[in-house]
Amino acid sequence: MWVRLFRAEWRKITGNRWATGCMIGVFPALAFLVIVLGLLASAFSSSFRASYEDNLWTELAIVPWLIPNNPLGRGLLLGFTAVLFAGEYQWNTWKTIVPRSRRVPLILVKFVTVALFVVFAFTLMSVIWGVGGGLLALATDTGYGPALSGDVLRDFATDYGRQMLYAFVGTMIAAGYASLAAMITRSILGSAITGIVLAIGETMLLVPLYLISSLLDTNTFLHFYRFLPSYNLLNVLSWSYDKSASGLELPSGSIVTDSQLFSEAVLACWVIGLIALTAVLFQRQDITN
Amino acid sequence: MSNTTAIRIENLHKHFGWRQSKRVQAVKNLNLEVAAGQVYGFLGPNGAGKTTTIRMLLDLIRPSQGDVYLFGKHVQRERDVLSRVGSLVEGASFYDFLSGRRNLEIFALTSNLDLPRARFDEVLKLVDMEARSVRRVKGYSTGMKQRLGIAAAMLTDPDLLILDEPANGLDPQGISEIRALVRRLADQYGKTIFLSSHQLGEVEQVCDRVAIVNKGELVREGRVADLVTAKAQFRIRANPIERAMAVIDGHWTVTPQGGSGDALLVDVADGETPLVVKRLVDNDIQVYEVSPHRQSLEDYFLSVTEGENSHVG
Repeated sequence: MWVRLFRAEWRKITGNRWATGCMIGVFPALAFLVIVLGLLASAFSSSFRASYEDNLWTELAIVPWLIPNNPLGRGLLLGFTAVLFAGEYQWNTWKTIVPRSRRVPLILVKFVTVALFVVFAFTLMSVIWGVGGGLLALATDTGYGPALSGDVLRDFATDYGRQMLYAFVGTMIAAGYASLAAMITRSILGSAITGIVLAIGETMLLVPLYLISSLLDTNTFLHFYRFLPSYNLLNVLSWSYDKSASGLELPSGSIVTDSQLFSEAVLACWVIGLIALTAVLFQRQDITN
Repeated sequence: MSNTTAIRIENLHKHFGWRQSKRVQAVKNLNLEVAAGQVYGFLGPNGAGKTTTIRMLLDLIRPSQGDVYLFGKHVQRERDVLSRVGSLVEGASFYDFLSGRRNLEIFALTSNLDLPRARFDEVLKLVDMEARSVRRVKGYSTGMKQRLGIAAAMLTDPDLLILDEPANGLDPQGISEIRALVRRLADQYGKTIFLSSHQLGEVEQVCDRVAIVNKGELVREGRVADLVTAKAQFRIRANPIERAMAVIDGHWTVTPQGGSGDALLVDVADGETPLVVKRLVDNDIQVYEVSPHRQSLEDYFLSVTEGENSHVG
């Protein structure tokens, strides 16, 4: 059952070329375009060749994974997931699908398929970016290290896997917001806007929390922010790239830091919580026009 | 409960809205039983609760109270029974950006079925959509969508088909095709069909039994043939019609008939027609026509819904 539901979802996603192309397919396509332009520039411009610097393939191949968790990428992910979740309401297709299957598997598979599709698209982008970087290095006669060795590959695989996981988690959280918004608004636009407001609102919550904490001369309220997804996504990325915590500055001037494990645990709770909430609400929801 | 009962609805209630003051009672104490193999019509004016009932049959919405059984199984507690049901609710809805065939493939997969290509060809042929199934649904007419909707409902070879307004938006040719298809599905393939429709004439021609609901409640249920022949009536065209009515009224039940306004419907027992005509002639009333009037389902429908609604739905 799960595999068939997954195949159905995958076909829906790949068949919706406009939404998929504009919001997800655009990233590997842009990467390809940039590489082609770079190769053309290196063929015709000596100044481009001269200014092109050495790169590390271990870094270039990982750069695309930053997109899903930056504000622009997150906005597009929210739009994409809104189309997939709210589309079923707006196109009235739930009424055809829901009697055919159990509701909880339907919604769970949708989450997983969306996240896997996003991971697939960014893996493709990462391959294009990594291989393209090598081609540019060849064309400009620059370095493209490090040399392949067991240690290098092991470290790269660990970093890469972690970035994939964070992109997957970021997508799941975006999908969680979009699915809840879809159930309330039952429209793609409404879901996208509500999802984006939720995501931005969550990030912007730092401002009022900081003000309240400053006014009341207490750090208690600010600690609430440490349990929100955006802070923890930032923290795990910081640990991943800078090998240090992103930190949260308190009104007193001191900085609170959290471990990578703490943030990963909080993110796991958010993903599980959002999916469980969506599943419970969807299970009980009346499917009406 | 007999296993030849396809649908059994017991004390079904559904209300919308949380606040008591704004609560809308869509379905009230509905009890119904549909035998397997029948084409069953479900009629009622707009807002009578037909679609709400159909949604509860398909577990799309939960009853506020009461139970729905399909083939003896509780639709919420034994949800697998829905695999024996095909449905088309309030018009066909598809993924517009996909082809008709790809939509059917998706519906099959969500039904946990890996159907062979031949099965898709079969249902598409059944609704005469083979050639057009490779085109995107976005370009389909309403009629084509409705036919594809029936194909989707038939995909799993269900024992019960629940069709909500299947002829909606169709031209007379399309309506006729749907009618023939519904009858064929029942007669040749032994399907049970639960059908709600705006087209009372079509329901009369295609259904074995009907239920009429109004304001969420069942008002009549029975065989179509029994309902439409419940009264023996004669249609009389005469001049002056007002005097004709005054002369007959009091002796027989008489109803002016709409349209040109020169006709009356008179309830008479067998053999009394000459007496009516004699009475009119004796009173110098010119009689142009006397013909038996077969009450249509529409007449019956309007009489039981007390003319509260000017159109059906």
